[in-house]
Amino acid sequence: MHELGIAMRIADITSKVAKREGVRKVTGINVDIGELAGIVPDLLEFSFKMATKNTSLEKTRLNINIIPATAMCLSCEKQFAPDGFLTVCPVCGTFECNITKGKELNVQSIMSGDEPIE
Amino acid sequence: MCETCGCNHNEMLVAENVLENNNRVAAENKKILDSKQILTINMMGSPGSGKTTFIIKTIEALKSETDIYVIEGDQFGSLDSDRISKTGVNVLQINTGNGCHLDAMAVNHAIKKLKPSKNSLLIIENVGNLVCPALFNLGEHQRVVVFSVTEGDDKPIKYAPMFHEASHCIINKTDLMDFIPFDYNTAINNLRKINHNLQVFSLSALHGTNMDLWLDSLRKGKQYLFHKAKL
Repeated sequence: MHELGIAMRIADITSKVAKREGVRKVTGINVDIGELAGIVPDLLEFSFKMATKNTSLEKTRLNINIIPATAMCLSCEKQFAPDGFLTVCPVCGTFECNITKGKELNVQSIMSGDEPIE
Repeated sequence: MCETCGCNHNEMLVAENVLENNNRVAAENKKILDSKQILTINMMGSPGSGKTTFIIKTIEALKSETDIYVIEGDQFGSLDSDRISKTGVNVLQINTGNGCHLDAMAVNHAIKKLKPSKNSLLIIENVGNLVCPALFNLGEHQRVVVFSVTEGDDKPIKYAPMFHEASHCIINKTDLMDFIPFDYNTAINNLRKINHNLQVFSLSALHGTNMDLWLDSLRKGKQYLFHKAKL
């Protein structure tokens, strides 16, 4: 359950950027979470609500964008979607593959301004 | 007004890694440890995998060759640091309370308190947990996961991130292999599928059997740091 710490960091980063840029109301935060980043999205959302309760980010939406994992075979350079951390090349069958995408854990952008018009 | 959804939102690019703070302090730790050629091992694994016994056996084998320091991470109490301090080395206990892992800041404070000497060995025993510690870089040189045969040969697949992020794996309690359904080749195959760079050592820390290859790898790690600093 490290998601609470991660949620607190997301709130810290957002507050710091909002203060620096003079943003009064942050309406949304867009985060990129890799499929293999070790984060459970539901737990992160729950933790974010806990972490921002009674703060200026209480009503801020957390938009989680899941980045699918990609691996590359070191022998034949085939790019493929691994089965979690199981990186077996579908072409030559070797285990010698590197994960090239899917471990992201980034605050990409923040949204400010009014709520969307429904 | 936003052309996509008709709202009045402004989007501001941030592009900051959530773990940036931890990674920055970890880099600071690494710089201190490199400059003093202190080989630092982050020891991780399930509760009960035998990490503390393994650390004690490593200390007993190497304490005549090098100064050794231990940072001991546990949720509560000082049982492990009490055991380790009986070997005569300097130990610092960190209690994480409800925290499930050590982070770079906790290790930074611990290094400043322990003051490990130049050219020594620093062992960090992380909180017993096969999930969260994998995510947090401490500034260590080696990430060692201790995995005991009683946990089952499928453990690397079930807790893949930990094995993926490790540099070394200790298959511990090999003396029990005759009594339980643990298939050694399956375990090795599973480790290779998750991390083809992993250095694997199979041993029994309790009985001190097959520790030599591991101890030699530590000696080589220390030599490497020593020579790297001279470049």
